Amino acid sequence: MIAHVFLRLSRRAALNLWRAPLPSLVSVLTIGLSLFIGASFVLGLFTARALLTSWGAQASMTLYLDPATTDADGRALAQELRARGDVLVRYVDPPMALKRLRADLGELATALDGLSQNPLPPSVEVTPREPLPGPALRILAAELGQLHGVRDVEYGREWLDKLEALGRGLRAFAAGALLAVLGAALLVVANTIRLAVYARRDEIEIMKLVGATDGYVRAPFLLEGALQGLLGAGVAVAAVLSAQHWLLPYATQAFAFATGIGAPHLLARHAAAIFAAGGLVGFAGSWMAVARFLKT
Amino acid sequence: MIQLFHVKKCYPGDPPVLDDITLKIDKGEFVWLTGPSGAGKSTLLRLLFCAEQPTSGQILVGGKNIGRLSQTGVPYLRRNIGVVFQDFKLLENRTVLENVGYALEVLGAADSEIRERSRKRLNQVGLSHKAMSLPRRLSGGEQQRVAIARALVNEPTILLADEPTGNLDPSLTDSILQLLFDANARGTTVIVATHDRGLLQRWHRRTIGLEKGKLVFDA
Repeated sequence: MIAHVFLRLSRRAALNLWRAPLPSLVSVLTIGLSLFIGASFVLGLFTARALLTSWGAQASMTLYLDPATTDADGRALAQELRARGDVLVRYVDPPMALKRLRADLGELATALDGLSQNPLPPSVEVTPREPLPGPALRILAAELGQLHGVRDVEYGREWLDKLEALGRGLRAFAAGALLAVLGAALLVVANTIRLAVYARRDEIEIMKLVGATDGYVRAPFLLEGALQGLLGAGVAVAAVLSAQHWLLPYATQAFAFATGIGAPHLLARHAAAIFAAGGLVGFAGSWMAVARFLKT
Repeated sequence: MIQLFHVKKCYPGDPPVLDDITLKIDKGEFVWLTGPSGAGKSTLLRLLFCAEQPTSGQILVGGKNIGRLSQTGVPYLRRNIGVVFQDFKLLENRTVLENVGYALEVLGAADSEIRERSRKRLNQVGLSHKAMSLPRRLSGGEQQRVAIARALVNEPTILLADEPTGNLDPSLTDSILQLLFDANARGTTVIVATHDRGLLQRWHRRTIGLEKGKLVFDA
């Protein structure tokens, strides 16, 4: 019994959409536009996060060793770190450090000629093999700082703090923007369905008169809203795929500077999430409209 | 079957629409509810199908106090009560057959059962040949017959009719009332609100008179 009632109500919901094409179209397009904007934000956010993680990981870490550390101890420590397998390691002895400094200073390197002895300590440069998010990088730095002979760890803490703050800001902005566009879509659906409910108030009165429950009265409107949401989601997915098709070559070029980070792609699970969000927005909007009407 | 005990219905700022009404209607009775406009006839009927709640007093239908019925219980009560209005209340964008079957649709009946039972009722009211017509193609009398078919398609135990002939040409009145008498003969309790005294004189049945919200006679 439930199956044929559901089929009957679904048929009616589709028919109602068909009978009022203009308001339905406005609703579908509004949901589509909102979800397109939302999906673009989210895809942009995913890419930005990957980019930030990549930048964070690229900052290599330098372990400055105690100046009294012998060359053999320094190389042993480097070997110990290499054995972890998750980091690339390079030991830099004091002469090599001084040579690099000279190279970096260029013409000013003559200032170093007056030094009676090499002031630079031995160090070990450590680079994570896989991109690490900020918190993991901090944990690694703290862990390496505890090793015997390590006097200080330099890993661009300020730079990392800025990247993390940027990441948090982007997340908050995207969440706010997503809520705003979905909220707007919800109100549009609620108003469209409210008009539909009002136009069919006689039908609702008769339904209730012959013994329809509130659930039965509500069901076609909820299905209608959900259907509008799903159609809107279809529009949004089509728009994202089209944008991807036309803009991807440019986006790939734009992101080429970030090693390992591709241009944003709409995956099947993203599309499924857009459809779920569309259905939910349509359903919730209808619920709001009908609940208000059934109360009166 | 239907019992009212000291039923009162008031709207804020107005005198009572119904005041201390106590009466009993047995199963299978045919009752005229009469009185001038504003006497409270329609309000009494609206209380019986729970479109409104009494301000005070008790209304028992089939032994159940419908004044205490929860909002979710109302639809189930209405499935046992057919209602006919002066203005027919038909859906303009549905065929006659669909209008009659609507009362079965909300019960979740299968399509084949809806068609079969609706056709049977349409046949009883003499409109099987108009099954696929839209209501606007029908005369007033025919539309009221469709409304009666819809009210009876569920085989309710009670049929309430609020001025069912009020919008019709006098020549059509008899045929409409005959449908109500037929339903009563099949065992349905029928209550008809009318202000037309001519009907009461032509068809002698129990008559309850209301005036300014009070029960003035029951004969």
